Amino acid sequence: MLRRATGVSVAFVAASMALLTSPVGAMPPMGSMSSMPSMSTSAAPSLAGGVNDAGTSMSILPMGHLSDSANTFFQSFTARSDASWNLSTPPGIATNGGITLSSPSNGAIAVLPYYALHLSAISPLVDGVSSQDGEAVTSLLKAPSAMAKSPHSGAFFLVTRKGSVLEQSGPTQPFTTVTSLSALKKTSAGKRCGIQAITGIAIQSDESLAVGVRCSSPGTTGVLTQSGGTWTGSLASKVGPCSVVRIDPSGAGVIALVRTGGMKASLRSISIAGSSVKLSSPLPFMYSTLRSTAVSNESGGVRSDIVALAGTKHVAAAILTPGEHVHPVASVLPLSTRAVVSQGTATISPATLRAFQVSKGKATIQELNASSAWETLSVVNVTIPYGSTK
Amino acid sequence: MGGSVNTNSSYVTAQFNTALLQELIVIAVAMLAIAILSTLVLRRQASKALELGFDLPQEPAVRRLLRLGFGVIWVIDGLLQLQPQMPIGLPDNVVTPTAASAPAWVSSLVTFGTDAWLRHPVLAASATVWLQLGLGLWLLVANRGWASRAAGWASAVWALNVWIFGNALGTLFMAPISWTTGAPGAVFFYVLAGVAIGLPPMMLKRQSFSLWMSRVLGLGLAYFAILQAWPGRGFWGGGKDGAYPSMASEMGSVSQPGFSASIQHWFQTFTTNSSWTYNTLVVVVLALAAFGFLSGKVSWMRLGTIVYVAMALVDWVLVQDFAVFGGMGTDLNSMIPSALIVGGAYLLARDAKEVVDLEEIPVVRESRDTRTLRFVGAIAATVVFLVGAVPMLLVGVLPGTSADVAAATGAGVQELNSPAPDFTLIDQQGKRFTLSDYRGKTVVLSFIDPVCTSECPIEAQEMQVASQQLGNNPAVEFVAINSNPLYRSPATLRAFDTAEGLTGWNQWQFLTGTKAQLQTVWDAYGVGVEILAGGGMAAHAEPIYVINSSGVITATWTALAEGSVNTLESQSAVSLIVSEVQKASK
Repeated sequence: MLRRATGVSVAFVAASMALLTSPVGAMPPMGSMSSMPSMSTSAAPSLAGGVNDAGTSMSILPMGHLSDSANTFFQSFTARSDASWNLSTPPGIATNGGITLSSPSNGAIAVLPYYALHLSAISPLVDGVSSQDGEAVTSLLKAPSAMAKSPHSGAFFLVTRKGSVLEQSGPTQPFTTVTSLSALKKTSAGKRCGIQAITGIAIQSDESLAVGVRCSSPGTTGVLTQSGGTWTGSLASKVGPCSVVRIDPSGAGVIALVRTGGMKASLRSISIAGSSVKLSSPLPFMYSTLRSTAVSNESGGVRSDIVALAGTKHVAAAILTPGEHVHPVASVLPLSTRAVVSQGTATISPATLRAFQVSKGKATIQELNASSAWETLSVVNVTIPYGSTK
Repeated sequence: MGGSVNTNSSYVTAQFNTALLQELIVIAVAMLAIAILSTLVLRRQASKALELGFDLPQEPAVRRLLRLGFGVIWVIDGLLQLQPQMPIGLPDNVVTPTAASAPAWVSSLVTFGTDAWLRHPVLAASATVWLQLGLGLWLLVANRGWASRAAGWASAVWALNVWIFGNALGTLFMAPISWTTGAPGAVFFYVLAGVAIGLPPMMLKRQSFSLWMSRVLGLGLAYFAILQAWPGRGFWGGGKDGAYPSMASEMGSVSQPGFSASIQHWFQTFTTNSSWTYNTLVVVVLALAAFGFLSGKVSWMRLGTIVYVAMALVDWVLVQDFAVFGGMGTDLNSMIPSALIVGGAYLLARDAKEVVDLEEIPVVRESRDTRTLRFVGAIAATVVFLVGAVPMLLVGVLPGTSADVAAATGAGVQELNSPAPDFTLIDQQGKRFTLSDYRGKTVVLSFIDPVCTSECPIEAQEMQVASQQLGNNPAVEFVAINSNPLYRSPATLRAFDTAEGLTGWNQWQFLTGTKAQLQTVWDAYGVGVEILAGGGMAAHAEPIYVINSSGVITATWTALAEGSVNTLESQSAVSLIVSEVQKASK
């Protein structure tokens, strides 16, 4: 019975996605149920994705033998404005554990611990290019928004695996602890949401911190903001227990991709600026179908959106704009699509999106053409150092 | 990550010699015990005036030929394994090139074998010596009974292992297959011989068995005759690109005695002008031998055997270059074993009887003492075999990589007993460090990447444990040089120390500097550093130097190379550090 129920669910999700994303409502070709990938109930956020910041876009992709973590090497690709995408993986260290990044134009990129490595190597980024000189800190949280950098002061923040938020005021300065999970648990905002973990960090335009957290209690957004030494949590009455998947600065506040609900979770974007809280409608398919997420943040732009990628047999992108309904992107993508990232400085629209498909060491980058069909823009081949950590 | 493999690593050679010596001592002790026991048994027999001899069935001629022939061959093979470059050279210079053009599934088998060997090269190489010597002696000494048959099966099993993992299935799946160059593989014949020796001797006298064996052999010879005659495979054509001249040219280019080089040169010249002559000879001989064995007539088989053995000897000299003189010879190649098999098949047919009557089997009288000595000899040979076989089994099952193979990769350029090049860098606290300031202390110098994801953290831990075992002696400094050109800040080194629990260790100095300063030190100590694309860490050699209180290098080796490590190997690495420091401190 359980097997049958699962198959029905898969069929429902696939059909929903097809209807949602196809401009003429045509069903994409479907194989037999038995050939469909089983649905995962894991809520671990995928590191794959990307950020668009002031015209510089960066995408993180897992490449190599994806079924073997020892031979999966995360790669970063960078493009400025409308230029072509280039490999920008930080050199000198194996990237099996994953890569995470803060602002791509003037932020940092970090390699997460894996195998015998117990610390995270961090390289500053200048216009999307990693510096030749790196630094290492204690283990970084394995999450897309584990780091943040202030565009104004240059202060650098990160979340460790042990749940501490560290700050480095300048490139050669020591890291100091700003707050921690245990400290946040003692705050009224932390108690209100039933905080269980810190899942990301962002710096607002006024230099104040915002952290994404996992909440066990309903009715909060999962975003805590700091003001004058006090942590405040925003309320959202229609949101159940939630966990922030990604968090980024946006205008005067932050925008977050939030997973809500339990086993039948869904995704929605939430923007918070002062007392203003806006929620997008939830992504109309279950979170467990999510394969990767991509965030596109328009600093100073007209609006901020999050692009989500989900599906089972095929995947589809959708733009989650706070305060609005979900905007599906026409045309489904192959299952090998790992990220959809916005490129360029214009407001996010289907025309600015780039989809990244991965096959071992080959990354295929696609864009939507005038007929709203995905079309190959370029192909980048990467030499994967299989077995370099074995 | 290590550099290229050094087949002639003096460290590995020394380890190989040590392993052989240790195993020889084990064998000598066992032999002494066996000798004492056998003397006691012989005296006891003499005192009891037991029966003086036994009438035993005569060993079939085919069995005797194969047992003695392959016994001698195994002994030769075992002695060839004593070559000092075997630990690293066998997989790299012999096995891997053999399988270079093999299909993927064959390559994967060979890679499995070479990987296992290269994880523990000294253990594997020394084990192979005793295993093959033991097999040879066992076959030579044990002439009948279960001990003799067991020797046959042991020979067959080991040969099958070599044929699959070391001989790429006899190159049967690699074009162009040719009898002249060794197909179906020398050790394939060892397998056949081992099985024949392992079978009950009575079976070797049955006509039905002989008939089938003749047919199978005849079909095999016919197959190779057809392959050799098949046009377009390069064996008929001459010129410098012809198959025979090319092979002769290749064999002649290998360092070897003058007379065999001269023969190769002559054969190259001859086949450049008339390859067809030699190939015709090969095809005719193979066809004649095939016809002889398929005919079922002993007289034709005899003729076929004679021409085959003669041709095999010619090919062994002209094409296979005596098999052992050029390069790293590991065996006599296929011709001698195949000649023994063909000769054995003839004897099998000659002596076969439709109905085997035990009464008709000739008997030989063997004295009681001879019988006892043969039994004792078989036990002694088995001991030699086990001294090889047991470690070889461990090679197959032990995880991780021995320090030996690492020592063959990226060895330092500094010679022993030479002054250690001086340098000045900064430590993890930003303080200036000059090597020559540490005269009066023993320095263990290593090269560590602070953001390395594999061996470096383990190497640092091994250093710390070694320091602890030396009582954290303040007269011994453990100095590591940063070997990552990108992550050079003292903060990164401190983060590494914190992550690895090295912060409270007073004898630990992790040094860094500008890229140019580091490059100077890397160059002086032979550390190549390469930045890999695509998420690969910095590849660098990992030499370790022990520098005595006078600033002289007293030992150098390479830390663990690529691959997983285990507790046992870390313990041996620690022991190596401790022992070399103690030697340097004397």
